[in-house]
Amino acid sequence: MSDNPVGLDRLIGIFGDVLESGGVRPDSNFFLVGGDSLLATRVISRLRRDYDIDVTFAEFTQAPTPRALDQLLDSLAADSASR
Amino acid sequence: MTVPDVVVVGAGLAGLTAAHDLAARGADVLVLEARGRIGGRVRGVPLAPGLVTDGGAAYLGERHTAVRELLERFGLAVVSADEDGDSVFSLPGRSRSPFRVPPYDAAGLGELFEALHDLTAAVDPERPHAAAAELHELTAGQWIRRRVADPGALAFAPLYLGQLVAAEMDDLSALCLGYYLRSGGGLRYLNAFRSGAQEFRVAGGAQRIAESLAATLPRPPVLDTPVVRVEAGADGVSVVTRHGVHRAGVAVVALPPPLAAGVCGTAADGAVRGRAVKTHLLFDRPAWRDHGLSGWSLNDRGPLMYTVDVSPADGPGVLTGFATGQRAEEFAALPAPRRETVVRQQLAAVFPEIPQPREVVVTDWVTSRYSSGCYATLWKPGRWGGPPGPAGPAGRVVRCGTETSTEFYGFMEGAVRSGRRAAEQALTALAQPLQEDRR
Repeated sequence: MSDNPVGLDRLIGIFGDVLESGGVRPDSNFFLVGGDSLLATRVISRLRRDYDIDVTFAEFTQAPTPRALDQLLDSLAADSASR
Repeated sequence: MTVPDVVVVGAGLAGLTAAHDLAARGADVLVLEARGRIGGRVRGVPLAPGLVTDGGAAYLGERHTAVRELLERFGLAVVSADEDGDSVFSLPGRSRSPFRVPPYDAAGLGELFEALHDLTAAVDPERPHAAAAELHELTAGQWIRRRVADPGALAFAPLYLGQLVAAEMDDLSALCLGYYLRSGGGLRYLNAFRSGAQEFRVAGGAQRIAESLAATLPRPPVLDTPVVRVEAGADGVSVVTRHGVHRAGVAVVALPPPLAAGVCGTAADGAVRGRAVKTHLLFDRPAWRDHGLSGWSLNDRGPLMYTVDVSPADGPGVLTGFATGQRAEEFAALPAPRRETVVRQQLAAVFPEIPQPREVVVTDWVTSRYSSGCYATLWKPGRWGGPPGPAGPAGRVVRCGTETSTEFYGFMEGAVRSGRRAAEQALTALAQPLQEDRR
């Protein structure tokens, strides 16, 4: 279960949109399924624009799959809840 | 000399491809070239004994199938253009990164790429006139500034566009930028070295494609012969040079739009020259690799706005530096010794880790009379002059060139595809009886 407002399914949708691919899976690595560093900024931009969530480029490179990014967003959500 | 079936004007990749296809189909073809060399915007620059590098067009990718077919036919190999190692940014503070993302706010940069993605989707290369009015009316810069507010993204945008189309953001229409992006395969494809439009270079230089095409022609291209005028008449075409008049059944005009308009007596209003200067730096060895660097850098001033490693395997080190747009013009205006000084000064700032190059070789496309724009001719707001445009003043004058291609406009691939198409059109026109014959 996701504790963040985005969730795994929407992250898969964002990856698919940016990569123009219907084949993105929870464990698809953005950089291995056609994404590059400039396209990654589109994912980061959408998280800020649509969900007001800030992920740095370095954080994204450490969590480049929908599942890992979902977990990262969970921990960001938990951090801000405990603040 | 007998009257040829077809005169091809211009021995760049488009003209040579057309001539090659026509000759292969049995047509008698004469190629006229203004310069003292073939290749047009493809040019081999000798750097050292046995080492020729690309002074002009260089890169290709998997989707560039027409060029790849030529490579296969002529037994030419490709080399990978991708290099491992960190990128360097001087914007203006120096930083390095394992990624090619400049050190600006990533979400802000994403705004720019979201906008460019939308722009790409908004232009259909087969129907550019159907695009939204604002794309026709605004410069690319105006359009981007309406969509993007982030300061880092706005600082990066002109550098990114300079790299992509060799122009300033306000030189060309938003439509023209969208056209370039869409016909080139979209943002992701255009950005990438790995699996993208910059995946390969031709081993030994892309001019080998031009040389191989020319070598198949029964009549070698005639050099140093600028064409002044091409006229279509009832009984064929007249191609007027400074030295005389060539009569033929059909002319293929394989020139950039402004030059084609000049010889055909048509208009190319609103044409803007892409402006690029390529600088090659020859080193004893690629010493930047010892420091974990790829040789790729992005810099907010010229003459080296970005650099790329083009070293041959197991040989000396070679970096290519690009200046584009206004910076290309400023650099091209310098006297030769001064050019070398500013290149060496900037190199020392971008790559302080490595010794100075043995040689600095500048290939200037800004003042190059017979290219009229490099990488390509672009178009101002309200004046789209790219495809699908008029084929020429008459059916017996056929145009080609990368700027006539709906696919890969501005790329070698566009040139070759247009040359193939022109050969088909020329054969069709040749098959039409001349009015004279019907009398």
